[in-house]
Amino acid sequence: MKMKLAYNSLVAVALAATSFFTVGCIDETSPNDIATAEQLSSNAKATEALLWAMPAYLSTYDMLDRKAHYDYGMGTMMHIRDVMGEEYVVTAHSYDWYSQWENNQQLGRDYIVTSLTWRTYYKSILTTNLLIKAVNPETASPEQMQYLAAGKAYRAGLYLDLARMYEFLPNDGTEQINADGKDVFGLTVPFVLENTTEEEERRNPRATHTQAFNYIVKDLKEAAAIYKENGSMKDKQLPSSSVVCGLLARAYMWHGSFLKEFGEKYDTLSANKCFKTAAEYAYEAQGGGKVLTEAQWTDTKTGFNTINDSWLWAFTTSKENQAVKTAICNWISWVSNETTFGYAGAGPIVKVNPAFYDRIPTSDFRKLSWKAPENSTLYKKMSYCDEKVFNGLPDYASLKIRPGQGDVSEASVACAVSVPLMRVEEMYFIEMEAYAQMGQDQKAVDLLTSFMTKYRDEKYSFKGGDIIDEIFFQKRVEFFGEGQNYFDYKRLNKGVTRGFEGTTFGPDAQMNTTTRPAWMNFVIEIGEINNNDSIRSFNNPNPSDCYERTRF
Amino acid sequence: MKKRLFSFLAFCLMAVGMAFAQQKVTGSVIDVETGEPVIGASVVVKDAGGIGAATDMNGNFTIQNVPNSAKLLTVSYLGMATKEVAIKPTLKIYLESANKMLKEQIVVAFGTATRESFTGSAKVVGADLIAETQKSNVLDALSNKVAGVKMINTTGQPGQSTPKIRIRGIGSINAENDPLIILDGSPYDGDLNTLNPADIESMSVLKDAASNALYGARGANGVIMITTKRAVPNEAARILVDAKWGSNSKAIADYETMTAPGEYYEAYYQALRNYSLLRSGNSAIDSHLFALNNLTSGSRGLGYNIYNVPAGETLIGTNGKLNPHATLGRVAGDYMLYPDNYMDASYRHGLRQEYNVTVTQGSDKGNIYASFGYLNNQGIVPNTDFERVSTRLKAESQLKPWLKLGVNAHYAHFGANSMGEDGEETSSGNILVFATQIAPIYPLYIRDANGNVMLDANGKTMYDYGKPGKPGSMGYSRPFLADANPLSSSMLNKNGYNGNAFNGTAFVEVKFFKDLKFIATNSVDFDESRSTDYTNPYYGQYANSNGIVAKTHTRNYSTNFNQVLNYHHRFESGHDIEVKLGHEAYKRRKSYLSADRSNMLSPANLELNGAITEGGSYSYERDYNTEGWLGQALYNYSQRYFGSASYRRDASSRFARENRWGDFWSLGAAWLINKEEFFKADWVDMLKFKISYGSQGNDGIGNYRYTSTFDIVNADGKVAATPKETGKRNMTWETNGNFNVGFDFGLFGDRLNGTVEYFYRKTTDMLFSVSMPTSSGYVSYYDNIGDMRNAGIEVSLDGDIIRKKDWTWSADLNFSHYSNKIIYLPEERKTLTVDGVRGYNTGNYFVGEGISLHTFYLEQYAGVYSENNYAGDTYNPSLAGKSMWWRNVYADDDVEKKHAIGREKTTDYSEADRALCGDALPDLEGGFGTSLRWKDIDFSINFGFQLGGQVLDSDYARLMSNPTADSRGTNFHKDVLNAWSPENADSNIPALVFGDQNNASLSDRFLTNASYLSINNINLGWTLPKTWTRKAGLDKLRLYVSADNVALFSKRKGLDPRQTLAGDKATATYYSAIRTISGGIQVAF
Repeated sequence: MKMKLAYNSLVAVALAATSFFTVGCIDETSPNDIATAEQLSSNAKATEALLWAMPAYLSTYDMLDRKAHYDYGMGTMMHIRDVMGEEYVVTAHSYDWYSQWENNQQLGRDYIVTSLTWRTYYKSILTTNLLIKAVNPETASPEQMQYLAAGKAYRAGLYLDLARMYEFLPNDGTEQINADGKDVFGLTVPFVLENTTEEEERRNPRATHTQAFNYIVKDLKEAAAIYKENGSMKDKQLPSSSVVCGLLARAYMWHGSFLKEFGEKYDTLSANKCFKTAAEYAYEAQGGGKVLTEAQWTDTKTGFNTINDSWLWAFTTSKENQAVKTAICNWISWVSNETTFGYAGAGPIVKVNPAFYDRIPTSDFRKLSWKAPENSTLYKKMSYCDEKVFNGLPDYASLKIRPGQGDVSEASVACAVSVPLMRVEEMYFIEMEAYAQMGQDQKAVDLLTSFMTKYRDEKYSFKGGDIIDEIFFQKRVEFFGEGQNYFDYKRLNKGVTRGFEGTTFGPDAQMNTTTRPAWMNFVIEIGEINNNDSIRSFNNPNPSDCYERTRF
Repeated sequence: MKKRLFSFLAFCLMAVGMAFAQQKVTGSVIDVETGEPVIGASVVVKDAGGIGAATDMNGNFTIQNVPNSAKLLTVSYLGMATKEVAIKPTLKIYLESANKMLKEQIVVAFGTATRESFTGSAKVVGADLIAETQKSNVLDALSNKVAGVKMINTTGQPGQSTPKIRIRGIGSINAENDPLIILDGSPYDGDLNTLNPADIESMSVLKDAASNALYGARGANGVIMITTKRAVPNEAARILVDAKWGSNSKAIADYETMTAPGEYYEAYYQALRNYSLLRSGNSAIDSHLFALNNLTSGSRGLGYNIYNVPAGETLIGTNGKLNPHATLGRVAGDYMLYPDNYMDASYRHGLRQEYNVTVTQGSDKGNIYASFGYLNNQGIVPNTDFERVSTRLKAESQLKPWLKLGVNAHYAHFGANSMGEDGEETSSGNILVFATQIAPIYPLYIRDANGNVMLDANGKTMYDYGKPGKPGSMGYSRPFLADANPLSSSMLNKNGYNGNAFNGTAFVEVKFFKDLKFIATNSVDFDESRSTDYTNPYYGQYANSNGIVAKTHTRNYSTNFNQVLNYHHRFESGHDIEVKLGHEAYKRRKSYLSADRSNMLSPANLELNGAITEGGSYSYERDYNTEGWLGQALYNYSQRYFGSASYRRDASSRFARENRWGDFWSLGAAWLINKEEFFKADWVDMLKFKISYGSQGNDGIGNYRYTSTFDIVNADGKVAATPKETGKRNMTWETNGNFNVGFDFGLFGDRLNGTVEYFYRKTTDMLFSVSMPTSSGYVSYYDNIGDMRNAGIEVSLDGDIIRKKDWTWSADLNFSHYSNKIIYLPEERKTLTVDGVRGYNTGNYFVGEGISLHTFYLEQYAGVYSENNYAGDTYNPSLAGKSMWWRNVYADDDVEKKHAIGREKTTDYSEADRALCGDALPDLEGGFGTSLRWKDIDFSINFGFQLGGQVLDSDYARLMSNPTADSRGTNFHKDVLNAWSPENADSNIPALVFGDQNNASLSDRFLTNASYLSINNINLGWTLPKTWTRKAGLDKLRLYVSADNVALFSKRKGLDPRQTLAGDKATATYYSAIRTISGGIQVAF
């Protein structure tokens, strides 16, 4: 008995020991569907991966984690800005996820749509901060210094958009004293930079207009200096030295217009100095590209979906991109009417306001961007990707932005496109407007006429009137659907007229304003309000439903 | 583990031998349920003047001098059925429990306990109750059966319907709240739909710390121990065949929406007319004309006119009524526009078939259980079904006196076809969005001018997609989800999967000292499935892709190894000590692989090779590991005073290396009061007081939350790492402290049994999603901040009201009440103060210190704007009929609006202020049932109920919404017929006005009482008398009918409050719960 017990014990102990040792201590795991910071830091390609994260992030699907069909990055920002104006009409439809922005409804701080704009920009800014932080100028190679410059330029570009969208400017719909009794005039957004700590983020006030301008210009000038020493980025998905000039031109126009409208007490710079600087940078940036030709403009395969000489800056969405994979939650689905699968074609069709359209002479080839009524002389001149689809479209439907490779049906081809962030033409418009703003109207007219006759409409001549209004109009024709016109409405304090006999705006979008519309001052979302003490009572007033609708 | 020990005194007395000596009998007495020896059992030779013996510490007895004339031994032990056995020189005698309830086995962590000796809180649902339901998922059998257990069934879809379970409230705000499932001793993360409920012997729900502290690592939300069947020792071979056939149908009623096209047109006309009359101030006749002109066309119209109206007449008269001469089925060109009932077309009856064969056999050396099951469950939505073939083999063998081995293997093959976009309330891909929301005027089919449904060139029925210029169109644009017809899609597309699940457990038990044994249990679980998602090339949004096929393969693989050393010693003084030491390691890997292609040759070939255009391809694996060391000490004195202490130290791969280990423990005690000398109530069979406290952990958040993560994406050919989430490296376990106190009792000779318990459950170091300013680019990170508690009372009772030879009538009842309260939130989350409560707003809820997690935070409805009830100082007729809400009023000098001094009404929704609107959690919930036996006929019925609680009825709000240009063609609830109008000025329902945006915006108006009563199942059976069946060579023959999900009574027809815990997503766009009515036959031989 004793022997047996001893033997049994031995077996048991051996068994126990074996199983203890075979399982050992808990195994480390590491992910392969994502990468951790630890994995990245041990990877030589990490900095490059952070560089490319900047353009890649601009076409990220589902940043809000709500599977919202309008959540696909920078393209949706552009569409949101476009639907706020007066020339860009979206057919009222139950599929239209942009109606809150179009109709000035439910734009308060609690809504998802409000979170979307804020978070899309700040998440994109995070990509630039991560890159900037990852490059140590003390030890960086010239190539890595280029990364750093690209990061700073990218960040400046994003902040410039963001500051212009959230800056509160006076209007006829809301007061600059908000519901908390705070004056929010000229306040932009909080600046989070690469070394901002969590504690600072939690007490980060909205920069004033001038502070924001200075942050942006500082980044851009640093980027320009680095490029000067190390050479410029070549890939158009990353900002080159021309783009840096272009962004400086935009920034100075913005600042100049602000000083001109509200007085020069806001900066030591004068408005004229800003316009002059803007004109100079714009001129310099013009060297970075060539103006689009009619053939390029109306090309059914590459029209406004492929990088060409006119584009200075863009981002490209590959067919592997998640937004492309969804087929319907992406830029092309929403802005190109010529697909058989996308949202735009299924109901919320993008159209041009007939009143705006009728102002464009038929000699201007840009008028071919929209489906002409059948009785128009342009009807036969329009090019289209697919006859059947074309025939199904209503009058005034946009044809400008084509599905990728002109493929109307295969989403993986149609939606894998490039999206323009800056075209060289804008620099011509900035230059001419800068002169007009400085009071040099004739110079402006000359530049406009020269641009128009040379590139757009041989028969063009300036018919008189306000030259800035004319430039504003031509610029809107030029940049229809590219997300840029919004900034001019707001900067130039232009109202919208959407309610009139024969309007194609839906009943809820029919609002007329005498100033920049109140809805162009974006409201800061709840996630920031709740967690940033310095912003809590400094939100922009909620513009929702602040205008009566006309009933046409 | 639980050897029988009656009392030391009895043992000594019976040990006295007798004088007559002729024959020696030795043997052992064993508890049939536990396989453990019974100590102190009396073994007496029958009719031999009291010759006998008592069993010793090992259950053995020896009786010298047994007269040769003696034939039988009488074996008895308190609480067990006395047994007579024929005398043989050596005997092994099995005793069964006399008092089933007291001796009820509870499967607990690493062992079993009897209900009597158990210090914790647990409830067992046995095979009998499981058999009363006809659920494909065994967890469903717990519905309304266990006090404190809440089941949430969002979808009724076959094969998809694993309920969410909450035990004793909500433990965590941001981490998981799901209990840990233990299948035959090992953590189970597989799909419960692959298990055959017929194989399940019992499910123990462990609710308190003393019960589940040994699962410390993951036991914070309770543990459900699922134990599969096995044969009992010395059971003769038995074969049981069970077959049933049933009909599936929709169990939940429809919302009371408009079904008559005329009624809908009238209502829509009214909305347009009111728009012109009330909002634009036009005359009655102008408004009539405006409504007529806009009814079916333009940006305000419905797009479809399906009525023929005689020339010169109008569809709707000036009285607002449909023209009596109007006839349905307008012929327009080549087509006839005729409406269809989408709801009727979306639900059908399905056939359910289930067959089970089980074989059991036991001997004193081992036992075997084998089963084979087949289930074919046809869904109630077209092209949905679930099929399962399963088999199980479980065998145990005592190879040597010191060595026992066992293997339990389960294999299942399963397949299903599913409905897409289940529960997606606005998706054009969800059939039920159409079924529940489309106006009753739209055709489902395309009909020729004669009214016959047309077939396309492929011979397929043509459905209306409502998008001109595309296939499946009659030239009319349907404003409601155009270019889609999910019913057609469900016929043409495929969304299915099939797979294999294998689960195997092997254990070895070695006894190597008298009181010491070693048990190793190793298990492997494997579950893989392959799905096919095919989109047709004929119709809809993706038709031009010429067919899209996507293939997905998933594989879940997990292993669990545990080793336990068990020492158990009883001292002759009555002290009883058991000590366990163990180790456990769990690993899980989830593998995923998918690819898709488009441009297919033929819909008959649904493989990637059958299509030519590459889509995408993806693969990844996700790992999760835990490891733990455990120790437990159990003590009792004379089976009267019980104590337990346990400790477990655990590591989880979800935390950073240095913060990975957590320590969890518990203490418990119980006192069997009825065993005390002073206790003199012989009608009390058992009265036990129990108390326990302990802590458990929760790591139920995603992997790698402790660090920053990046997505790896394509930047036009370059590898890019885009930021995803950020984390805090010092994050560690969430801890759940659990206090439990209560009484278990058995009264009147086991006629009434019950438990009354109080629990207090406090979560500390909560894995809380800490919000960041979103300007950081991140939304939140996890950190251990915040405290919450759940406290409540649970009562369960069951008993036999009548217990006679021919009659048994028994009934059971359980109910629980609990409250949830957040005790502490991090300072930066307390961004709002509402009604004195500090906290934050998330969605429609306010998360605040001192209130329930599920407190609604909504705008408050202030009625309809009318002459008797208006906002502002003067009545404005152009606002008549609009909704009003409350807004706060502040003193002029209170510019920051900190302290409201009153409130006033407003018609502007964006001005309305939200307020706390009460809790979603019910006041009382539970279930009751009764069963009745008369001779060979048995009947049972089970109910579930909830009293109180609130649901935000978003379906109803949608159906009560006014049409706008962006939302035309949505059906109305019939309640709009009672909407405000100048003639119906007392109505509390806002006027039906086209374009009035916010009339039904979410507010407390749509908070609906979540009380319900459900009839969960009814069973009626007839077991043929043995005298008949024996003649046919059968052991048993039973015929039965069974009905599941019989009825639901809720506050609003169509609303199923059982779909939600937080009161947020109860929607008829989820696949309805299924009612099954079956007939079956059970044969044993």
